[in-house]
Amino acid sequence: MEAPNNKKTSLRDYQNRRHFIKGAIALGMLPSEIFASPASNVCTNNVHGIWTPEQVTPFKYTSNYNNYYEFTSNKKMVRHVAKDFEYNNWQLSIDGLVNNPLTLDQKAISDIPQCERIYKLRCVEGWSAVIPWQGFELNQLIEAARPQKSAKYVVFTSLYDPKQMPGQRSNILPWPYTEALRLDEAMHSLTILANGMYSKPLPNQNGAPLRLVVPWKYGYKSIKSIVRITLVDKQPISSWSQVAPSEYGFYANVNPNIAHPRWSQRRELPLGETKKIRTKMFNGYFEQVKSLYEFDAIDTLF
Amino acid sequence: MGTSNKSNRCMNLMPLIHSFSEMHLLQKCNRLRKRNDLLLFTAMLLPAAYLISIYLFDNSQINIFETLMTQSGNWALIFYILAYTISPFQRLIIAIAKSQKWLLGKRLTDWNFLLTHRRTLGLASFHLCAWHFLFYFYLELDFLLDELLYELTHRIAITAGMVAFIVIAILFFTSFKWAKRRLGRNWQRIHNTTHIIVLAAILHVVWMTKLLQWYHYIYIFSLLLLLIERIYQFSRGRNHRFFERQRRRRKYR
Repeated sequence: MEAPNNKKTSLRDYQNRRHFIKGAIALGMLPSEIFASPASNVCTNNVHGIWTPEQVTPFKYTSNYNNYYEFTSNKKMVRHVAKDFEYNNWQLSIDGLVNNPLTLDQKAISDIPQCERIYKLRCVEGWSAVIPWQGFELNQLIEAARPQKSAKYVVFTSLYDPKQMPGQRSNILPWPYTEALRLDEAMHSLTILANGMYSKPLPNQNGAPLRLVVPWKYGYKSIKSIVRITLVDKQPISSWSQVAPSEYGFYANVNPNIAHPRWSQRRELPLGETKKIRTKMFNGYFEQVKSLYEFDAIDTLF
Repeated sequence: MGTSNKSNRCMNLMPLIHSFSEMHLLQKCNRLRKRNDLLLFTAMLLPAAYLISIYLFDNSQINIFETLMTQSGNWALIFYILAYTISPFQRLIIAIAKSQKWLLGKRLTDWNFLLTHRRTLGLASFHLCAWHFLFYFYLELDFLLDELLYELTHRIAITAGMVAFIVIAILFFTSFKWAKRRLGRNWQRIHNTTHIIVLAAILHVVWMTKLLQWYHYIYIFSLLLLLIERIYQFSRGRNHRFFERQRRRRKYR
């Protein structure tokens, strides 16, 4: 007889939390208190500790070498171009098929309880880096926005500001940059929103003020400088898929069995090293995320 | 009578003097050619030395693999384009010399010394291609043959690059004098496959690069221009041969 009771209380807690959210939003209170409630998913450090702190790639490599086409397509120049990037009036809005649209500012984001996750980032170009991220699980935010039943996909939109981002003045990609996940992928505990790395605030070139990190997908899925999260019911087409649908698929799961015409997906170069190593299935997170996909379909999704 | 004889003798001497000066010039050219060849040969070693120094000593490189691959590939292409420009350049100079009626001997207007440099430039291109392939095979594939086979069958850019590498390797091994002597008429046939390298290299560059930069466009357009010139020359030559045949037939009728 105790089990149903427990269930009831937990449900009540859950509903209370919903009321509490409503009240908090109405009063303009900080959303951090929503996430502090016991029923919500609390972010824990390194849930799947595949990568240890000893394996972490040095900060000088990961902060000096990355793709950020909003600034420039030169991986080594991003840092210099993004040096003066400012985001004082930055806001993150969550809308679409949600019952409780949210708008958060930087203060609200920084008040959300944080945790550290050491993830390997695998770029589609064939290089990788192990990075300690500071952030929180995306499912906390989506749950707070209360998605409707019809919501199936989550669309992320990056900042559009050609004045500050010179790369957006040319049309190499459709701006603003958008990316999308399936709702269950977005709700997975591995998927995080990061606002810091190496225990420092996120550097401009790495996607300040807030970026997505999905460790089992190629790096271009981990969209930087997010300003909008929209829940939709149809599979959207993300920026890179619009440009080259045969090369950049919707799923973009790290899969050494699916070859890219340009880069070998079987092997990857850890930044700072000279020789390539073998790429693992789903970037090493196969056991954690295989339940999201039908086993037969894994090699057909890309 | 005597004066006319004198002038005749002088006239008879003229071609002799002319050939003397030509011989002198040719000797000079030969010496220059040897020196320039040596210079070119050292120049072709420089990019490779630079690449090896990066590999051994440069700690500031974040993605050393990418640097080595792009640099070796770029230099191989640059040398190849230079080698491929030689014969159209020679044709151009001859055309100019003819139209301007330059007072230079036929041998000099042929500018044959350019052709010997063509071989050196081709050698340089193969040299960097070999480094390019070696870096790829060792640093990316760790000398694993089955990985190479997988890449060749699954990545079309690698297939194109491999075709270019095999052809340029064949051209390299048949570029020496003994090979030329032994192959005879077939030598020219084998060396006409150089146009395959052009196509394969263009495809390799286009399929390999994510975003084509200005220098990629220079490579592609110069190679295409030179190839189109070759096709034009070939079709003109064929037309010429065709009309010659017609004329001959008419004659014999």
